[in-house]
Amino acid sequence: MSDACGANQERATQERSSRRSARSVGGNEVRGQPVERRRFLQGAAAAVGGAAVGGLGASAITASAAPAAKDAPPADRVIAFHGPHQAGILTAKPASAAFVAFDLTARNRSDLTDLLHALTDQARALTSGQPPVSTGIAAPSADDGTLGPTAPAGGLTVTLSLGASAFDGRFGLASHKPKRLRRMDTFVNDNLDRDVCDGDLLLQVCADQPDTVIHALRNLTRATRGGMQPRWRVDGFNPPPRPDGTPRNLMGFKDGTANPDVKDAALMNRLVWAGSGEPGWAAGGSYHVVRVIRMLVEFWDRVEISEQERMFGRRKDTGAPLTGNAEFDTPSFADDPTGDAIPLDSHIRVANPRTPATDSQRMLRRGFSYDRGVDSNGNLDMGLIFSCYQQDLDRQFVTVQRRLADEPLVDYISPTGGGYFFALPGVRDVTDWYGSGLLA
Amino acid sequence: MPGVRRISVPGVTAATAVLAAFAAVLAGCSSSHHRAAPAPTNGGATTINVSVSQCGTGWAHPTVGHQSFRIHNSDTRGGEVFLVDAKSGAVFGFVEPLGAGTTADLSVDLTGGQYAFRCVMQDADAVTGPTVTLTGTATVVSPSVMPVSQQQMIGPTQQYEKYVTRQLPGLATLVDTLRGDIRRGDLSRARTDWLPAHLAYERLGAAYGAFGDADGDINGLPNGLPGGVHDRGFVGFHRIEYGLWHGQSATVLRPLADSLAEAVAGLRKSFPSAQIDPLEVSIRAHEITENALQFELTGQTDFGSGSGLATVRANLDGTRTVLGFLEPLLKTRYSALPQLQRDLTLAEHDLDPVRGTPLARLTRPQRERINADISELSELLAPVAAICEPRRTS
Repeated sequence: MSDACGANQERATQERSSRRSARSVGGNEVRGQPVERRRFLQGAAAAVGGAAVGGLGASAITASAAPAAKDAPPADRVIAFHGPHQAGILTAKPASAAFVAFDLTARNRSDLTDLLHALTDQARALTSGQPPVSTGIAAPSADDGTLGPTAPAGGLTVTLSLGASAFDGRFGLASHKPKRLRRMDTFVNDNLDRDVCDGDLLLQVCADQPDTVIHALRNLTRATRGGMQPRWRVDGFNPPPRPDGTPRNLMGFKDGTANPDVKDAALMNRLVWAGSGEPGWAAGGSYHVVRVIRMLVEFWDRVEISEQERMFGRRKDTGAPLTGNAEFDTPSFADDPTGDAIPLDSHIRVANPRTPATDSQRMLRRGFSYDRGVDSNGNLDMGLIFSCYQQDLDRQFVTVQRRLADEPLVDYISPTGGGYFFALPGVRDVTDWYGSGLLA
Repeated sequence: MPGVRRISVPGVTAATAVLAAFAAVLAGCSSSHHRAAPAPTNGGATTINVSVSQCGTGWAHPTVGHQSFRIHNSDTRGGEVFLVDAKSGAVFGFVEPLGAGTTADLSVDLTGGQYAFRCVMQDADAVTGPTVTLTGTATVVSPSVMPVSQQQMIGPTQQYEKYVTRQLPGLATLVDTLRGDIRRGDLSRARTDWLPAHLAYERLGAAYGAFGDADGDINGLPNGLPGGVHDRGFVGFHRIEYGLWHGQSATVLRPLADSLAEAVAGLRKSFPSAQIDPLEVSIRAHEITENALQFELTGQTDFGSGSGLATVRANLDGTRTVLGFLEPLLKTRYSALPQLQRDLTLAEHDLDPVRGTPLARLTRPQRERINADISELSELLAPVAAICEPRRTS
């Protein structure tokens, strides 16, 4: 199967049907009806893809000028799909996101391979903004039309991760599981509903506008209904800077100020991309942790700002560490050994003590806020989709999370869901597909 | 069933109205999806004239690959326009309806070959325009399908009518048994006999109000009724189910059983003389599973019996039956038909062990499996409705 798919570029990019079931078996037969999903634009999209392959994994971005008219659509941009790493990891956070975990209903390894091909084809087409091919009288339209007739890319990224349960006996992958991958731990301050935790496969779908995210999600699920079913979902948004610097979370604090520099490739190799102890296929991938953290915002708003600031260790207005004056000032823990300015149990001090010993524990955070209705007590259900990427689940996220146990902030937050996943290596080119190294 | 999504009334062929309604749905999809040029004005498009006297003129510079047309109806009549393979008549794209004096966009991807526009104007014979030859090869090509005519759908439609007609006496007998139980006050027996009677109805494939008012009387839901399950307008199988599984007395249920029996008798009497719209048969093949997904697999139609999965299994029988009638037409038109048939069999096998289990008692993997099966089937059945929609070819 993989040979057939890898050998023929045209077939891989153009002949896969949107209606091909993830259930069809056998490598060379015609899969599904001959309805091609999208026309492949040889121009812009291909050029962008090539640029990314040449880069250091940072996604190449093209942006066209924003139309001047008042009612004109937002500026379009294409984020390269192909590369040694998946887009959506080092890529700067756009405004909108959906995190959707699925359980695999694929019946066997061959089905799973088909499923990953289908996901690759959809993600490739959607992220490059390929217009859908008309279906005439052969089928209902291949596209839902929610982005209009041309279905622009809109800064879309689709990032695919697998959970530990995908490596159970069903698909013969047990011996290929990333070393640290497991069901998400329950931490002391957690309030997890296991029905909305974990999952075999996670899609992180991000774009500049929420309709672009939804459009992608509808197409991705439409092409894969037989092979996977949604398990849980949370939609997120990333607000604009208020008034500047790093965007704020729903507690009103800037969140992500101290993130490692994604432009530092050596640093990313040390902190984000899978290390030497992992199976060979995992090179270029990354451990992906998602935690849905409810914020008890009504309670939080009844707390004095000075107390809030001591819990975080930063000023609420500027984001400056309490030892400094501006957001990007480095917290001076050494000059504040007794925590007079930044309390010893404050969030930033415990999370990142900034010592040589904890340097390798840093992770790349890429969280979004969520807002989803009301609770039975009349409180607003909102919070943070904590999402981070790291080289080593235990050395980084788990170590830091354990250290944060019982921090003062825990009274105002309640982790309810999420999971541990492993973001697959990137899809290298038009002949490659998600998981090719794992399933080949 | 609630929410008649697509108009369908037995006894009335209403071909024009129904066809137009369905066509509008499809045309809406196609016109909003087929264009590839980003320019909102569609500036690069070729304008094609459509009328009885001038069908398909204006294709000046034909090239392989993506084609963007502006189809202008210069006639005083409305009509439909098809872009066809000049030799076989297979359809690559269509605009339907195209009102007099209006213009619509049509985009297709074509490889080398001979093509023509076919104009099917109201109250006029179909006219095929000049043949246009494209040379070269394109790798991305819109799918083409031989259209199905009203004439070709007559056979499957009659087979479906006969099938339903043959099933109705059995349904009536089972309903009479249920009614007898209730009249005798043997509600325990009635709870046993309710299911086979209900499944006999579900097996007919009566999705989305396909039997018109009779469906509401036989299998209606309380949706849209102010009093909900307590509303006097809630009648039929599910109303009786509610009573049988909520401790209601035989006195309460007796008139409901009587009216159900009357409704079934009425359907049995009227159906053989009714004429089903051929369009409806093609839609039915698709919508039975849509109906199961929307109502049974959400538990909405479980009023106490916990028989939703048994209903879905009966619905698959209905799907298989209707699909069987359409198979001769689909064999040469739908390349995913073997896969669809395989998936249907798999779904049946997945449902068989759990058909007696209430939906809520399925494990999560079991439920996800059934959801995957039925939603995948719905995807694969949707093209059946598109392909088999009767179209004017002459």
